[in-house]
Amino acid sequence: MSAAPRPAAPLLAVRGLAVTYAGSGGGVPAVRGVSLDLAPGETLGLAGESGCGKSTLAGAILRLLPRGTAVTGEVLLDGEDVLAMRPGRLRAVRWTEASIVLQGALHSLNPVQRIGAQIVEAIELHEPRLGRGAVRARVAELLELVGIPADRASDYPHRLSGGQRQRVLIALALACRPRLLIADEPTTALDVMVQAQVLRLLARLQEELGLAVLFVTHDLSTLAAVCRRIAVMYAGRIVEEGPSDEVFRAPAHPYTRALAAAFPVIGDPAFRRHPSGLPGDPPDPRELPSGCPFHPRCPLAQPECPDVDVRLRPAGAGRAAACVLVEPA
Amino acid sequence: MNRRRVIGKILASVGTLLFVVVFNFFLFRVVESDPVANLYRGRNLSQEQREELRREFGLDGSQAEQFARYVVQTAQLNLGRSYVSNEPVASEIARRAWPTVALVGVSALLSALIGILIGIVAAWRRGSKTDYVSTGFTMTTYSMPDFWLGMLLLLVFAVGLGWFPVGGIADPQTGGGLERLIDQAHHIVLPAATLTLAYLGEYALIMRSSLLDTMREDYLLLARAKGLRDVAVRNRHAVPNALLPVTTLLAINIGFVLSGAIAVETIFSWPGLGLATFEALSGPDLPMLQGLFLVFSAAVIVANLAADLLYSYLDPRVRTA
Repeated sequence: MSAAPRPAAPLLAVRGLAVTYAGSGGGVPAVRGVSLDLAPGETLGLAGESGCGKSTLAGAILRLLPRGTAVTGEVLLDGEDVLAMRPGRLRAVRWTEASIVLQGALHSLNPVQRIGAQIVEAIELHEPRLGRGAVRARVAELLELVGIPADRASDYPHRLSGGQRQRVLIALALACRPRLLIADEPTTALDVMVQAQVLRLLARLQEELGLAVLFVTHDLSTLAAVCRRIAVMYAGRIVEEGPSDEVFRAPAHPYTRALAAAFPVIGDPAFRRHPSGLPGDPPDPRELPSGCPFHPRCPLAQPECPDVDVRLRPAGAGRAAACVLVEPA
Repeated sequence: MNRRRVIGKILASVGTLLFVVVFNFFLFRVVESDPVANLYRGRNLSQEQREELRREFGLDGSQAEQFARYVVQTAQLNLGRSYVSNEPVASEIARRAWPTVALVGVSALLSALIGILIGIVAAWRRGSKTDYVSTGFTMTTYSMPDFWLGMLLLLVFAVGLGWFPVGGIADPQTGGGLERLIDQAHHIVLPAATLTLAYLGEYALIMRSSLLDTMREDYLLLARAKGLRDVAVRNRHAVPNALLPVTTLLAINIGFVLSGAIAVETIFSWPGLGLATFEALSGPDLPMLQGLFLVFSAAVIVANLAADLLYSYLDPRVRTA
């Protein structure tokens, strides 16, 4: 199996992105030099433990991080650097070029506004010349697209279940027909059945609408099901990247291996007796270990690991990993 | 179901009001056993005259008879006669309610409006110089007692600078119509300023903290991600949510401010219910006090009911809960 040829012009190209949060007693480096490409219509999964910087990366693309956060590098959306945009241009790009489904499904809708009004607001903001009837028709179409009866538009968020709210958020994200959808932990707050439902919905929409999706989650198994390519983050950097089935089946980086092994194999009695977790906690970004930041938790750590700041290196066709054990093919 | 909730709340308020009516009766019976003896102390009254006065004041008969009479009369809005002016208490209160309603109404609206605006600006620019200055200012006015603030304003702007009259609601020499209205507006400035300053701090501080809480909400991040301007995010999404606790405060305060204006009305000789309370206390004019207590309690109860109903109107989550 070989990776598909990469299209020349990526829809999203992140180059050397670094994000440092303002903190008392020095900044907190949450993302430390990440580059990635996403072609139109492609899906990329971004995986990692909480605190690895994946949500920060997702937020940085539309410049949604708190004021005072230092963001360097480039975020090229259709060739235009989001980080260098003037405020007016940025507001125009938000939601029309790229939109985001936020992590907190239950709290991302304004509780005192009807859900229809919240979708209308986005459409009217970006397409002010659209008539009232056309806007209403689009709202109905969007809600039905995500499997919610159009007459629920006049409901307040609290009348909807968690899964319904998450689907409304997806409908809302599609309101202005963006080409890129950033889904930040879109299924985390939901129960398993609803998770599967939302994932199927995202996969279907991606295919039907030709969306590019950046799918951020800690759950490697969902990524393998939804995304063709995945990138694994650790301590603010991508440590492994490649086609998802290959990465999942034969991880090149010890961290990916541990992450993949941490998910239970349903029905496997051996796993129940010996669940394999990853010992220790993710490192505090303020006090990263020297060299490879994973070495204190790494089962395969080499003597040179605390000293070598290892970067991504090729690890087979369309794959890369940041580990000294990976020999360039 | 919705209507049932509203009716339930109204019934609960009526129940509270009935309790106040009953409590009010016993409260004033505990205070003094024989008002006639007290009021006519030092005067030689014959036994017949005493009996006559007792009957006139409704103090004859057993406690149970008095109570029954009191309940019936209160239900007919007959609150007895003032010991001092011998006028019906109800009409006395009605006459003196308007100055208070004007004063309290103006200052409640102003303090809420100004306080909320200060709170919004302070929260939205949290940590800025504007925030420090405005929070410092509101903290200062919030911690000043209203009677002290009133005396200060009186000394500076009426006695010292002479910009405003020292007290009262109108100059007796002014004519009628527009001229009188302007004169009253001139008179209301200082007491209204006192009450406004005394109350706006509470609104500002609560609005600030409420908005700061709201600003952490995910739906504001989403609103920003949609491409809304900061001002639109604030006015359309943040402020309507942050206003919820403040509206309740406003409704409840309007109830309390009616009675809370006692000190300020006394300082500025504002002829409203607060000054009436002060005068009745020095009598002591028990029927008047009894009537005033009833009105003050009723105002608080009605304001609470209004706050409840208003909140469920503003917050759809409460409406259906």
